[in-house]
Amino acid sequence: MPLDLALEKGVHLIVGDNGAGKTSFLESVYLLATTKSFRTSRISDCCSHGSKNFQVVGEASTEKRTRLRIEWKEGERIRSVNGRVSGLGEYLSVLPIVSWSSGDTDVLVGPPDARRRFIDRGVVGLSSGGIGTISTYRKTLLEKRRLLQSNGRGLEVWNEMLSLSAHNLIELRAKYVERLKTSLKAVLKASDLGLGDLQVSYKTSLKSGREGPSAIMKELMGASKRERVMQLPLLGPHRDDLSIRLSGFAVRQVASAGERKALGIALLLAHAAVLSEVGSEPVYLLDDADTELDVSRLRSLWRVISHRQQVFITSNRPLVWEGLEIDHFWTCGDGQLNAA
Amino acid sequence: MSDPLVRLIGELSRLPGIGPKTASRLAHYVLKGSRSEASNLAQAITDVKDLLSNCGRCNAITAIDPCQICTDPLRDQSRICVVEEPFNIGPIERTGEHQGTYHVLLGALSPQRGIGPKELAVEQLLHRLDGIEEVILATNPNVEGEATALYLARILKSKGIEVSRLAFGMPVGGDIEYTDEVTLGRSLAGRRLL
Repeated sequence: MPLDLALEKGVHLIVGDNGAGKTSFLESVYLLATTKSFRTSRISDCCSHGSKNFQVVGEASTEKRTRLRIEWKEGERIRSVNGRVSGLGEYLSVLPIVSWSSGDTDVLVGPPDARRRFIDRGVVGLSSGGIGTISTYRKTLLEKRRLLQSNGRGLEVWNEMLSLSAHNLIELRAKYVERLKTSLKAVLKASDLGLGDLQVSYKTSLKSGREGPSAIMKELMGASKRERVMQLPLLGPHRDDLSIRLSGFAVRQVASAGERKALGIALLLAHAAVLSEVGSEPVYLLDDADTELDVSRLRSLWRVISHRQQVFITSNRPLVWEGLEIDHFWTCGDGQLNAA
Repeated sequence: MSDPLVRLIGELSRLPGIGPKTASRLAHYVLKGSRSEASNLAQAITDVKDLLSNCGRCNAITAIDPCQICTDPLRDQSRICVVEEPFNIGPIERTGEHQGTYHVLLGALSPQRGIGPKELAVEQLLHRLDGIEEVILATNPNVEGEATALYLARILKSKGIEVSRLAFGMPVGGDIEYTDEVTLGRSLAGRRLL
């Protein structure tokens, strides 16, 4: 069912029962901004039941008005800026966005690839060359992996290629994580979320990660015998991790569900602060923001989030938000949003 | 649809960059046109296959073997510009900046596509090195092209040949403010003295 909305600045609270379509609404905003879903890696899953196509069209008013359009048609993703088919970098720069939904707890307690994706979102936001650097590294890695699976001959050339792109990626990631740490401190101080001592650091799988391409090349060549046996690239930014520790312990060991949620949102706010420093302030999407949070933490979170330019929060417990100054209140049901 | 039309659409859609819709549009265009136009198109396609081949020396597309560039006495035979595909020669020729000869590798290294050094015209290049002073590596600035350039540079340097690579950097008419760091970094690394 088509949905046409004008969304003003301020905090939007969208309430509705389970399955009412709250998350789908956030997902459509996220799709418009990023061309991807935060819920699924298969964009075809975003079509409504029985349909094979979808489109989201929106106008972003930042310094100027820019029209974005993302369409999934006949198995093809088409993105355009102001009616013109655009490159991904140009598209992503129009409407910076950050989101938190239940699956994002993986960043704290899941496998390292969730944290690498988190860092790389920061890399893309921080640097205009970020997408290109990540893409070059991934392509080179795929070629090296294939080589190791075949005869492994000519590995030196691919290691040299990899050392150059690994160096670029590690530098960008390290730069982002340093800024994230500073922002996180400020967020924790301002929000008073009561999370204790939180340490965040970037762990490279290459010992020589910060020493430049030649040192990386040497380390890669040192691992080549093992790599040939395993037929896998064992070292490089694809094995890096973001260490997140609470009072010296891994988050999964010590943090309760509520603490994980608060911590996750604090990380998101810090990430958003980094994006704001280098460009425009992002739009915030917080799915089921209140679940697992006690009233005091919800109030703490509110202190930080309520001053942001544009925030969309979904909830199925309207009562917990009572007494807070919500700018726009919506009810969601039957695939429609109605101003309440 | 009748069979010949389906067959034409099928054949056209095998061409790179041509999807079923474009193929159908092109096929209907041919159908609408005169018989002589269709014959000319068909003849041009078969002529390309009958009359042209790769130069035995440099692999460029040519009607006479060796090609005109390889046999031109006015070209600098001590400089070879290495490209991936025959169609890469045209744009370089149009610059008028390269007076030497060419060598077409017929691809670029890509383990993913099963292309290693043996699948490329590398040996053929190495047999052309007598009297060569400089090899200019003009492979594409993507992962496969860069890897190929690195591979060739290692071999050629070990044989005492001067190796150069096309410069990378900002496009003419570009703006520093809107140039990404990687391109700008490459521009700085490849800067030249004035």
